[in-house]
Amino acid sequence: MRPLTDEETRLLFEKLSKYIGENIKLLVDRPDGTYCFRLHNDRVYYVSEKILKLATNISRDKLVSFGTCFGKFTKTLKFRLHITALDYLAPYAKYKVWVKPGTEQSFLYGNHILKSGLGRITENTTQYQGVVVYSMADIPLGFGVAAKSTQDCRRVDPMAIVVFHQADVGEYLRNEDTLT
Amino acid sequence: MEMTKHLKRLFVGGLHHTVSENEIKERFSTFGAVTDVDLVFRKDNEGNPIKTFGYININASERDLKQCISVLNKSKWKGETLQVELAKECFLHKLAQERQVVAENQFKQQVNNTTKVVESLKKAGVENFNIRSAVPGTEIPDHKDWVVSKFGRVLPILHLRKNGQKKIIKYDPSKYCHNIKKLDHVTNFEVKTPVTNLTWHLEETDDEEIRKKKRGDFPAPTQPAKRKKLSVSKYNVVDSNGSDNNFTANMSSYAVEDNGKSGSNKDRFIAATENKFAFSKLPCSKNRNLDRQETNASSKSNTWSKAQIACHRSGFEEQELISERENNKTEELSQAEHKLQDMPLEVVGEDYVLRHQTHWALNDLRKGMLEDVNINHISNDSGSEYDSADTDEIISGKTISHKRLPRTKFSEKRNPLISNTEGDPKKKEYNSNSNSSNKDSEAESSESNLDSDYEEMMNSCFRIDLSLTDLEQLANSSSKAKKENNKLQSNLKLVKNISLQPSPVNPLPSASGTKISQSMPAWKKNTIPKKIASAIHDEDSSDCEITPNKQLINPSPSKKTMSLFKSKEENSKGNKLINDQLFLKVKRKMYKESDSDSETSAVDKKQKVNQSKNVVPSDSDSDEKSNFKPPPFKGTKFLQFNTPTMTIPSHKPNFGISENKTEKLKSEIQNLCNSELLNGERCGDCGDANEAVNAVKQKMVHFKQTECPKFEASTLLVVETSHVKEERECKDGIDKDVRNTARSLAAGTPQNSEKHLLDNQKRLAALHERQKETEMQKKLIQGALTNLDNQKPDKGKHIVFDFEEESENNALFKDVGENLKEEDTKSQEKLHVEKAFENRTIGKLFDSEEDNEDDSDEDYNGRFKLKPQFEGKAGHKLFDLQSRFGTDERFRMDERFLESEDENTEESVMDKGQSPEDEEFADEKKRALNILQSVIQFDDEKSDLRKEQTRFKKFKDVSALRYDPTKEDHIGFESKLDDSTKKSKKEKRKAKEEAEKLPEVSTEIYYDVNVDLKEMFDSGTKANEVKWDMKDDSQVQDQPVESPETVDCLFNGNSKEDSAGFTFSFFDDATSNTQKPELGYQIESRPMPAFPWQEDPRFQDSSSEDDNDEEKDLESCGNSTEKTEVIFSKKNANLFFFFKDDQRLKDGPKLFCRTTDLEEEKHNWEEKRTLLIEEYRKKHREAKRKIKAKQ
Repeated sequence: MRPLTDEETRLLFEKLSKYIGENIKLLVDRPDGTYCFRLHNDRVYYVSEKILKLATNISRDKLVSFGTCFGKFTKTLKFRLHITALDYLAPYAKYKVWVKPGTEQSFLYGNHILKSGLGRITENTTQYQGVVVYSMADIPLGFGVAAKSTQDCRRVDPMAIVVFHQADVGEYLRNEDTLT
Repeated sequence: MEMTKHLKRLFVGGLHHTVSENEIKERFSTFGAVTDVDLVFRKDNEGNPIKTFGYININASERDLKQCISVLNKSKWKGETLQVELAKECFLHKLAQERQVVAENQFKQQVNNTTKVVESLKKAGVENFNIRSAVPGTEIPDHKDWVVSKFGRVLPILHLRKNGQKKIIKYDPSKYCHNIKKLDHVTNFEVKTPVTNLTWHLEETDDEEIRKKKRGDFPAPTQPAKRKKLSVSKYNVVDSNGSDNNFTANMSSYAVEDNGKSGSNKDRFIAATENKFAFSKLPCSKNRNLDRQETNASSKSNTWSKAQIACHRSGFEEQELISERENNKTEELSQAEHKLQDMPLEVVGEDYVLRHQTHWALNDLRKGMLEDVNINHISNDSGSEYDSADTDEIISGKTISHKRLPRTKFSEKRNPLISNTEGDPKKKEYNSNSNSSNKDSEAESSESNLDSDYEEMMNSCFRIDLSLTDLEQLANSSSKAKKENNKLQSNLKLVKNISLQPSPVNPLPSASGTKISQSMPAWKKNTIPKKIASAIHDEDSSDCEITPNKQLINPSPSKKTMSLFKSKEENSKGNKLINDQLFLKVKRKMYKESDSDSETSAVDKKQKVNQSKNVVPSDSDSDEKSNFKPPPFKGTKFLQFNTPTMTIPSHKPNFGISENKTEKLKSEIQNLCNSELLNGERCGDCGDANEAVNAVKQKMVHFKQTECPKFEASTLLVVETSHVKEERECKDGIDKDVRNTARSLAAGTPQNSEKHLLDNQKRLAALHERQKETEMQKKLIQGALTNLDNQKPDKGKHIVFDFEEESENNALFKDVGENLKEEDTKSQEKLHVEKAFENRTIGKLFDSEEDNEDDSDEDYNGRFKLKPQFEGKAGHKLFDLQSRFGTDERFRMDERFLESEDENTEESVMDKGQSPEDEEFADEKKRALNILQSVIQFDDEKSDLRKEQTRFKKFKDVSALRYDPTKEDHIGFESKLDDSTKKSKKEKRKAKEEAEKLPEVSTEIYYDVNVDLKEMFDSGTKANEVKWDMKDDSQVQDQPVESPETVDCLFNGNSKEDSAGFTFSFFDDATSNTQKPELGYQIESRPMPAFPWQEDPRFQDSSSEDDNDEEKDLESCGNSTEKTEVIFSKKNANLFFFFKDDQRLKDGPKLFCRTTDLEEEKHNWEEKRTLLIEEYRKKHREAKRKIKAKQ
């Protein structure tokens, strides 16, 4: 467990900014306490100061997880967001996509979102913009990347992929053993 | 055979393009009659003939034909090689032939068939197909399948295959009547068909008409009408099918049909729109089917379309089923959602607000965020906001739903009460028994009744049983005497009465206002305080009829606070505002009491806070009910919260003391001291508070009594709404109160009812405690929530105060009652723990009270002994402090403050201890923010880049472009003429100079220059150091000079020769002329243009190299030059032309040889090289430095 280096922080923020933009500031500078990012086992944890202090009492090899895991750094030093970060992405997300109830399951099984399953989309979404996926009941289901811009979404045929799947809450079951 | 002539078609190729048909005819006529000639001229695009060929029909015999081909093939004609071959028959000819053949064949066959049959039948004895005598069905001999049909005609048995079916039906003509007619008709028809039709005859199929059309056979005039009809119907079909109208029409029909069923058409329509894709295919299929429809009758088409519609409908139904299934699955989803689901695609703005805020604590954050982003976002407060109960506005406005809670609780609690009233008497008796023992014990302790604080409802209730009789007596004896006297009497004379009299009075301060009600007539348990209030208000001591309205409304009168509220409500009819103020005053009093109990210091603050708090709800509430109800959430809670703090400590010392007095063995000295101290302090407080009451107090030994009047006074304040000073009011209130009680007692209520009352009161008290407990829990939760929200910046300050206050109260309570560590009071978590603990203890207390109503005091004592008051370090500290400052309240307050300050300091120390970590975190945060900023800027830059790109991508009309000097963009259009011209000028000049100076060979020039150079290099280092520019300049100036110098060096060797000298003398004039300006060059220092490009290091390098060369040259030539000069002067008059044995001719070749040894030269060079390199580097460095400095 250690603080992130500048480079790592930059990578993390660049990735996060794709989803929540400048709202990262609200994660870093929280009025309700001190929160920080910590690296542990190549994973980045977003943790409050209190829990951090508690976590320091546990040896590194025994420490499985603490705080909220945002994602991990791959071997190629890219940052990959995990579904556990959804709790923090969803409330701050700038670009959202709503899926129809019929498509929810498909998405939760890890499939991309086709245009036929697209219920609603934030305007001005650009291509390859990170989006948070909601059900029509406004429950966040996961996140992904917009394969088409909003304008293109109107035009494409119903079987075209609109959002690339990145993570969904189904992973809590599917990747239960790897999620921390 | 040979001679028979056939019409043959020949191909003739390789014709000349000028050939004509006649020529060909003539040519071929020798072999046969040429009937037809077809010539084909092939030409290219420009009209040049490529090839010409033709076909001829020749009527010739086989032999002639062969001869013709053999002769004419590959023969030359008009310069071309003929090619003659047999060709295929002409298409038209073949066609005609075929047709002819077919027609002939058919006719022949027909004729043949009939004649044959007739003949064969004749053989069998059938004439003209008729056998009259034969029975129908008899077979004709010799003729298989021929039978005699009805009417005696002989007909064949037919095996017919039905159209479109594989099954072959045997048609026996003997079994049918009109078959002959049919058959005859068929034959007639066949016969009548024209030959032309028969040529292309095929078996009739569905698409006969098409084929007919293909054949060029257009239907009979009857058909067009039919077709017209058809087309109309077709048109209809198309119209209804192909367009959307069709769809809607279908839909409408469908919808109409389905109207009987449930479900709105709209939904179906939506579902249908969703499935538009499926329907878009329909028109195609229809179009396909239209071909078929052509052949069908219009009616058929109608049915067909109907069928199609039916198909549609089935499709619809399927889809609807699916959608319904979906609906069932997602029943939770609202109808709107369903519609949304059906909507194709919706695009929402970035400020779209989610219906559910899914994240825990982020509602607030979100609010802040949104505020930051300047988005007006109203979060739905309905369910999620717990703290909303805290804010006054919401209490006044919104929490109607919350109001229900307490009320229902009350009602629930009330029911058991009512039900219990009947079974009570027994208990009462039991209680009275137990009370008697209590009374005895109290009698013992009557002397030092300081602690008669037994404001505990239960205890007081017990006593009332006993006291009632006494009171009755008293009432009888002195019913009209003054109540004060009464009280005094009761206090002084009757030890029991002492316990009795306070009991009616006490209930107010103690959390149970039930005691008064006990003494009051039986009819109302709950409304007694109210009654009292009303009675006092009306100045009628025994007014029972005023209350009824409120009784129903107020379910929890047992609470003192409630009673207070009620009184307030009643009064609020008259003047609310004043009441509120008074109420506040009362509250303050209560707080004072609590302070006296627990020697609190920050009372004033709290009171103020309370005032500010309470004023809002009380003022804002218009209804009495609302006035009453909101408090349970805030005000009452607060009060209730405070009341336990008041009452419980008071209980404890009491218990402790009672313990001491009843069971002296068990009593601990410390506890006693504490209680005594506390009591003393209380007394002091009371004395401070109401001086006027002191007299009464003095008479009344009971501390409790002193408290009671205070409260009475406060209540009176509330009730009478008078602005009289407190002291007087206290007195009056006491008087009135006592009078009231006396009167109520004197009313002579039956004892049974009294017992009932008592029981009810007890239960009420118990319930009240329970309620209190629950409310405490609520409070706890609320506290936790407030703690959560405590750090919110947007929260009102008063709420924070509220919380602190409560916590402080808790702390106080703790100090006095529970003796938990004071250091922990500030940390909020611990506070919660304390609260919880407190709550639990309270619960225990009241549980014990409730459960063991009949328990003796000893039990209580035992209970409370387990929790000694001042225990541990904190307790000791507290004691010390208290003892040090005695009863002076102000000092106590100060001490309190000091203590808190100590805590603060401790906290600060703690903060200091944490500060490094905090700093770390702060640093980290700062760093993160910096990075974030960079990242976001990075993004911004990206976007900027993108924008720029887009900008550049924008189409620009070049023709419309005009140079605008004011625009920055247009700088790119400016060509830097000046620089280039300068440069070019310079270069030109240089080039010119060089060109000019190349021929300068005169020694003088050389000499002068040489001297200059020497000077230059003597001061070379200086110049380098002094000014680079200048030096550079000078070097630049020097440069042109050097080349002549070198040339001179070369020519100096030559100059020994006369001719050379002569030649150079020829130039002398010119050089002398040029010399002058050159000198001027050297003298005047040209101003250097301050452009960096002119300080090009390369440029300087070259110059420096040149310098090196110069140096070298100087070294090498230095001596020789002087010599040459001498020679030059000597042989100045040399002849121009060569002469015999000319010296120049001898020396000239030497010039091309190396004069010095190579090794030597090399050595010299190596020596100087290092120096030169150093020099060069130095200059280079300086130049670089210059450039940098300028930049």
